[in-house]
Amino acid sequence: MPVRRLHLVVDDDLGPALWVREQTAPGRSRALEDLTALRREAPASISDALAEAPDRLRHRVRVPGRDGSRRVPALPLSGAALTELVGATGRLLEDRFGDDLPGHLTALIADGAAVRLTDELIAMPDLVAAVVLDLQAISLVERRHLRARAVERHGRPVMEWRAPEKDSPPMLHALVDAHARAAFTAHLRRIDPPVEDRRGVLWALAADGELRADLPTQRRLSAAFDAFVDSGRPGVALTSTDSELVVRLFEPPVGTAWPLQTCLRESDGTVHPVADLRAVGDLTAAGAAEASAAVMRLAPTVRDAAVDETGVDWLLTTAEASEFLTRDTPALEQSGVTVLLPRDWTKQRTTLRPQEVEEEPGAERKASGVGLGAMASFRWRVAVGETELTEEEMAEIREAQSELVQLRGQWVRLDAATLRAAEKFLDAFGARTRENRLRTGPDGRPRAAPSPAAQAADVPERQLPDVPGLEPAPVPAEVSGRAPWIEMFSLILSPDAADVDFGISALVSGGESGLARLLPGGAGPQPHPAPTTLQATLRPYQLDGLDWLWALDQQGLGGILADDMGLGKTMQVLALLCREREEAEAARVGPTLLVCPMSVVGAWRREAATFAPHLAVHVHHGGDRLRDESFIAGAADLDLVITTYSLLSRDLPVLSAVPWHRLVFDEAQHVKTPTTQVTRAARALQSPHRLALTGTPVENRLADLHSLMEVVNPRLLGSSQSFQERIATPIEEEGDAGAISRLKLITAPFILRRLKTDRTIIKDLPEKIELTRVVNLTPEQAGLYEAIVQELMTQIDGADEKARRTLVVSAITRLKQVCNHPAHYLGDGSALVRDGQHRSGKLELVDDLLESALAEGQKALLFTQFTAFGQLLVPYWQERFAELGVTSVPFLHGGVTQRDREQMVAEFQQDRDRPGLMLLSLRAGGTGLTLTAANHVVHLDRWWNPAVENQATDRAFRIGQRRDVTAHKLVSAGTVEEKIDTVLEDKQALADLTISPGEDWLAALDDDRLLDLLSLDEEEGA
Amino acid sequence: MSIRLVSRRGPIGTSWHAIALRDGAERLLGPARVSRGRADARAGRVQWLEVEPGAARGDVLDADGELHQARLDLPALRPDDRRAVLEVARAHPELPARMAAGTYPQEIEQELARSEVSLLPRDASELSHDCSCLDWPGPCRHVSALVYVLVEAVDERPVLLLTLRGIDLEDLVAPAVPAPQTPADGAAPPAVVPGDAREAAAPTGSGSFDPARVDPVLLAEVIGEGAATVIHSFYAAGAEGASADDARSESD
Repeated sequence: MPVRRLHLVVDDDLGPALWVREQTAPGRSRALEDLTALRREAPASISDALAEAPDRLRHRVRVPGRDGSRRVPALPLSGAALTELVGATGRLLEDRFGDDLPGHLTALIADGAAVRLTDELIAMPDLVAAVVLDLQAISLVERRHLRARAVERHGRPVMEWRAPEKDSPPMLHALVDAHARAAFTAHLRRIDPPVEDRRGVLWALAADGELRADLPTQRRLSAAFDAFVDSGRPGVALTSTDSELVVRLFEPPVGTAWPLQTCLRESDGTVHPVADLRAVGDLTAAGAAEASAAVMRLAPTVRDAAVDETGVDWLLTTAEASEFLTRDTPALEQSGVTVLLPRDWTKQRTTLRPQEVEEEPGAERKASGVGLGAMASFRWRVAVGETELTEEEMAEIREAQSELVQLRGQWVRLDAATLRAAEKFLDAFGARTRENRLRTGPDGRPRAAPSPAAQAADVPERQLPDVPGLEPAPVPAEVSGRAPWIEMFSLILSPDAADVDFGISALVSGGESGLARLLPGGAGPQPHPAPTTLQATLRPYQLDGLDWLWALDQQGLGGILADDMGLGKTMQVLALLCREREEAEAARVGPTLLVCPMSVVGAWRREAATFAPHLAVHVHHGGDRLRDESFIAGAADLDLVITTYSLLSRDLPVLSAVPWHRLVFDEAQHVKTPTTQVTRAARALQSPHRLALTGTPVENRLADLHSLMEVVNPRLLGSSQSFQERIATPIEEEGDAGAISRLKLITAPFILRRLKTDRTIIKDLPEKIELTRVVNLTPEQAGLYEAIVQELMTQIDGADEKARRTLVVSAITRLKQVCNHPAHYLGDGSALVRDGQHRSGKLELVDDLLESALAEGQKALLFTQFTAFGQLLVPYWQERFAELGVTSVPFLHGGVTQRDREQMVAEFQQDRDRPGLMLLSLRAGGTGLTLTAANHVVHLDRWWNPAVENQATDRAFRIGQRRDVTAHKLVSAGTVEEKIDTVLEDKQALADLTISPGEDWLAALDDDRLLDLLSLDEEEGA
Repeated sequence: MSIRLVSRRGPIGTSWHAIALRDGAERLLGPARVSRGRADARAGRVQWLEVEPGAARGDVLDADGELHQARLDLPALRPDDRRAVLEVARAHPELPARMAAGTYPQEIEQELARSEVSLLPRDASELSHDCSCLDWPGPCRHVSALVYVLVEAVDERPVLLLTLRGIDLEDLVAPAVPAPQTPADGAAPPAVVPGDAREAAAPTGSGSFDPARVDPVLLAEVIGEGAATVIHSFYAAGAEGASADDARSESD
């Protein structure tokens, strides 16, 4: 019996096929063409497996031979025939090796050796391998690790089961198909009733059923099966289409390129490079290529960039990285691709830092040599972020023309806009500064502006011998030039400076006494001793303010003193008047015209009389005021003329005829609207010195600032239109940091604003600021007031003590009502303001005060003892202050329920930084309330009981809690209010307890003293 | 469902590789068929296009409403040519992404030319055609129309050239772990991982397969809900740990 060798191959056309080599003689063999003999002589299991096969082998398969391939007769095997043959072989091997089978198989396969099944039957290596694969296939089918696909075989669409891994050996696929087909047939038999299956997929998967599907449908079937199977593999769900594409840029390791990675973001937010996903098999090569391709489609820079070894990531040059950031990043982000950049890669702005601005030494005081006309030298450094650039670095940046530069070993992303702006500005600066440019060499000393040739010649000079470990600190480059101040300011406001960011925090400026000292970072005004003729001790910050006013005065410059309410602006102005007269010695200093609201005329007059009694003060007010030549002539002998805004435009002809030494505008917000008559009149007046006082933060409303500055320093900020375009709009609409820095650089010398909360100010302040604010009565108030006093004096003549007491107390109440407001006294429901004119001096002042406080986001508590007055004020203020953010004015009085009170208090205490007002009746609001959100306490009328008033003030002011509360006590000038206030102050000073709190004691006074106390002091009247 | 061409007038195909394919194919078609095929292609006569190794196939609707199965054959590369392509491709790791992005870099073709290999038909003789219509021996207008649809498809997706030549995009990426070199002619025994068969059968990918997780909805869209449920329950049996005997007895 000849030895037969069994081969099992997979043919491209036939699939698995058996062919047999039969030894005919030693060293000679032939391929078997007929199975009859084999079937007869082989072990039973093999014979059984081949029982169905025809005797003659009609098929041919191509097999490799010694002299190229040859075709041999073969038996195609599929389905059960295949698994039976392989199974039978396996069992024969098992019989032979027993439990050692796995070990023997491993050795056989490793050696590629054949194995003898019986004496005459040899299983060739491919059949042995099939035995092992069969075990794998059985296991895969058991665990349903199966794929299925639709294919065409011999022009017929069929379904095929497959092993899960595409690159598995074809034999494994064939065995899997055979086993799965059997298992699925059994599965299908159990299904009852049969389901609809229009394409015949089920039977095509089980037996040899026909698949009804054209080619596109076959593809769809295969794809659907793939998706179905993949859904059972966690992580494989990741494809380039359903997860978010991410591009990640890395900073280069020293001296290399910028890695740019294509990544995918999974639904849980983690980001993986597609190269990694592909490596672990979570993403197909096609998926990775597709992701990378998507990046290329959106990012043109990347297309020409070098690809790294993964094929899906890139290595960008610095120029490409820069281009990528500028051009591609927006396009990628717009298409929903996330671009991740290294660390906190915000764009670094380029700032221009003024250095050591200096007045020209020995500048003569000719007309053009002072103030804004004075020459000054400016030196600028260019900084990127916090790094001040050296000459070389500036050159590198210019040359690179790139958004990415390496500065001192760090990659920096430049903000192109500010960089270009800085360069443009320096060019314009060079052109305007009379070609007086200086550059600083590596030794830090200025050197002549280099020509390109000179620059090249400089190179060797820079190569200083390297001292190991001692790198010389980089010397920032400086560009300097000389120009008059006004020219610099106009340059800074010009389009040449658009987008320039001035780093003024680093400014150092000097000079003897000039403007440079007033710039931010400057030495500040030259200090002088306090004026000796002032009858008061200036607080340290007031002396600073005086020095500042004095410095501006010396330069012929105007200023805006915008100190917080209560810091003593009046005192600083009076001190200025004193100092200039002390400095002038014998020479006569011209008069100062002070314009203020009517309500504070009296306060000014009074403070001048108290603190600077040597000044000749005249109030230009009232119907009997001088309006002719005598006023002009008389003014020359005066030091201070006080007038009101309403008279400013009306009396402009006579006022402008006086050669004023100085103009002062108190509560200068009255001239903030450029179109009003008052503002026009204020600008029309001529004077070498101009000053505006306001407690309102001027920086917040830029149009107002421009208007105020036009009054005190005409033309400094340019036309209102260009100011609006170049400064105000960019700041107000975009918060443009560059525009803010430009504005600050120009306005800083001319605005002085100290807040009560400033650390340096607080230590100079008393614990609690209490201001007694004296206001003037309007003519209407004065008329009513006098009528009441006269009526009383007639009535008490001869009245008994009890009636007298009643009459006096009721008259005082009515007088207080008149002082509050005519409408309060009359109770006729008339308007609080008539034709824009205030009817009450008190309300006018309170309105100004509240406007300043609210504009700064502060809160105020207002106390009155008259509920009726409060009722008048609530609707009035709600309307007046609505645009400042006051939505409602709560009024807490005796008629408010406890619950409502609590709610009012809670609402008021919320949002400390929002403006707010609250009215309280003194009795109701005196105790048990915490209203610490307020910065201002206003006592609209007087209780004449310090204990009660203090208790009310303490609602807002809790000892130790805050020191920025100001208590304003309003007193009408020349009235019973002021007189009793004086009495009370004396009383406190003398600790005299004979006068009890309240008003009852007044009734006990005799007629003369009573009349003295109640009657209106004519001089104070309107 | 028919294929609409982007190109409305003038020559079809804009990229160099599409033009090269078109030129090769037009030499096969001959001038008479060119304009007619182009018009038919633009008229949307080609119903679908299937590109597979060695052939592009599609159904083309005749004017009289009959569907003809046209095909254009471009032989898949022989094993040694294929090796040459893979060698060049693996030296250019960016190639898959490039081709996915729609460019077939000309320098790749130049490098291939050194081994006398090309993804494109080097001359008309490399192409052959077939159609179910009666216009024998052709090439008929149906094949011609198919050619233009193919040209435009290749224009946009040069990856199809690889497919035609029997190369999968996956093949272009060098395997992370070099597999034992198997001669392409299949003389050696199939690569099998010896050892315990069950262990060896575990998928090598990172995600382990769990038949309980499969989602039948993905199948139902194509084969209908009922059939999908049957297949799903078949997979679910694997998850429930269908016994080995079960599977074995079915196959015996």
